[in-house]
Amino acid sequence: MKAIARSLRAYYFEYLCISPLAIFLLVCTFFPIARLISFSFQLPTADSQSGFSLSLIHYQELFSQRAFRQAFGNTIFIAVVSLFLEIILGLALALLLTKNSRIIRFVRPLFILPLAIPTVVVGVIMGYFFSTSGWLNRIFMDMGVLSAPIYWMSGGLPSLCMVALADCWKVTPLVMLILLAGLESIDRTLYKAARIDGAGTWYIFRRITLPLLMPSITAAVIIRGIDAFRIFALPLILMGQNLKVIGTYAYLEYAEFNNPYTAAASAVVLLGMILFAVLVYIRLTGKRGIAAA
Amino acid sequence: MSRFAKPIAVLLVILIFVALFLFPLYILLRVAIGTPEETFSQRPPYLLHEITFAHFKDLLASGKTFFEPLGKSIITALLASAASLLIAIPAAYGISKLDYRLRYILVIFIFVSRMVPEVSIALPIAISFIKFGLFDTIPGLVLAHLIRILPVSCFILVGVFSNIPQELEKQARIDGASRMAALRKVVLPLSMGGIGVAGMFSFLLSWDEFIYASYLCLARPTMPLKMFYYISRGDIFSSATYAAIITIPVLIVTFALQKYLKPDYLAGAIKG
Repeated sequence: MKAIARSLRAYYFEYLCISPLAIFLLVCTFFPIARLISFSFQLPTADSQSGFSLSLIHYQELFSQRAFRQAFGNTIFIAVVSLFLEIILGLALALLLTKNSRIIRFVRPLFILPLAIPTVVVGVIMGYFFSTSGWLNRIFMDMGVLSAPIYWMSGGLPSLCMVALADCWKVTPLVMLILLAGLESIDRTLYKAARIDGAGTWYIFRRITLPLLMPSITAAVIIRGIDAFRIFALPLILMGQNLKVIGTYAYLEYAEFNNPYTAAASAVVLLGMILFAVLVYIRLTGKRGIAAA
Repeated sequence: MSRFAKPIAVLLVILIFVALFLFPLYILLRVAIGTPEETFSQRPPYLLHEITFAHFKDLLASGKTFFEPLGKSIITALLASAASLLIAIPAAYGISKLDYRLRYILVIFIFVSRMVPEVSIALPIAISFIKFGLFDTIPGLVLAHLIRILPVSCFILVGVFSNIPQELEKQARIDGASRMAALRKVVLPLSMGGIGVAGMFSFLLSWDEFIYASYLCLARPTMPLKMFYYISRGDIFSSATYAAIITIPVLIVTFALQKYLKPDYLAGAIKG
């Protein structure tokens, strides 16, 4: 108690400054989440005034639906595939650019391009790119790689890959920027010393670069992983009802099928998945991870 | 020969990636300024033969259906960025002055709020806003957009304020200025550039926001929603034109402010 009082006296002006933000976050973020969770356990018959009820009926309903189980699987599949590709490509690009600093200056602005395009617009563009008579099929067929078009938008595996690739296009530059910053913070003399000791390129990469880059990679994986779980605009614009992830499932349940209770329950499931990822992140990296990220 | 082989290979790989990043943008431009004949032909040519601004003219001619969403988007973004600065400037200043442990707790607090999926906040908010009469109104949408904007503008501003030497403020205090006066007369004038950047990013984050808008708007859509409406109707030219109009300001500002585009800001975390 004393410590709190002392801290209040020492920092009263700072606390005063922060209070509008704190109040806003409580009222507009944490309170709605509490409401969402209580709402998802509420019986539809209980009126909201009489308050608390604890029923798992909406969750039972949710998991009994094939569409939801599919959305659940789709979310995880898209997250894993896009994350994997983004990290590999981002790392490759970062390694390529960090060694060619003169090229960086010219191409860096171009690499940032996808970041500067709103996600909704990326959805539109990827629609032109992946549609059956779209540009991807066109180019591959002109090059003779494909003899018949791939039906990316027909649902199932091709569509899952399409959403993952679209996300990849938008996000790889961000991953590259995070990893590039990590690479640039590695002490150059380490490489020199290893070279003098006769280490090869692959050995240096595995024994020096990769371990020292690990904090940045973990940060990129978790931050991007969280975003990948809540992917929304791309699947909604590209596939709509035909391929749902949990985010769009929750939206469509509410907006199209007027079913706020299952919408709330699936939003809570999504929240749980993300919370789990955040906890793993903090567990893995500790304070340093947050600071480094 | 082999001395040049490696740099050339590297350059080639980089060029391929650059093409990969540029090409999709070109496709959008093609549809937005191409003639329907070329876009709908069986094998549209790679290079445009004919440029037309007819789609943009159609849009301008459509009057209210275009200007209402445009107005709503601009007003919402202006109000949201003003409100975000009003809340984030003092908050970021306060956070930058706290000791390490307290700052860490607050950063976690903001970090968690940044990680919550929009879908999970939008639903309860939409339900309460219907009750309070904020549904489908600009103030309601501004409030929702602030949820998205505030963490980012706070992170940018904490960085800005941390870079201002403590001594300057101390000096002002010794000369008899109150804390408020020191903040107003010393810290703020020195931070104008950073505050401008935070304001710009706030504007953009509201301008292209889609999820909250889709929960909170019905009769009066914003630009991204209007675009989504044309996509679902299959109107390829209108959606491409809207997409171009939404993208252009974002593209310009992002390129102008490139050097502030550090991964920290975007990733939503912060240096301790």
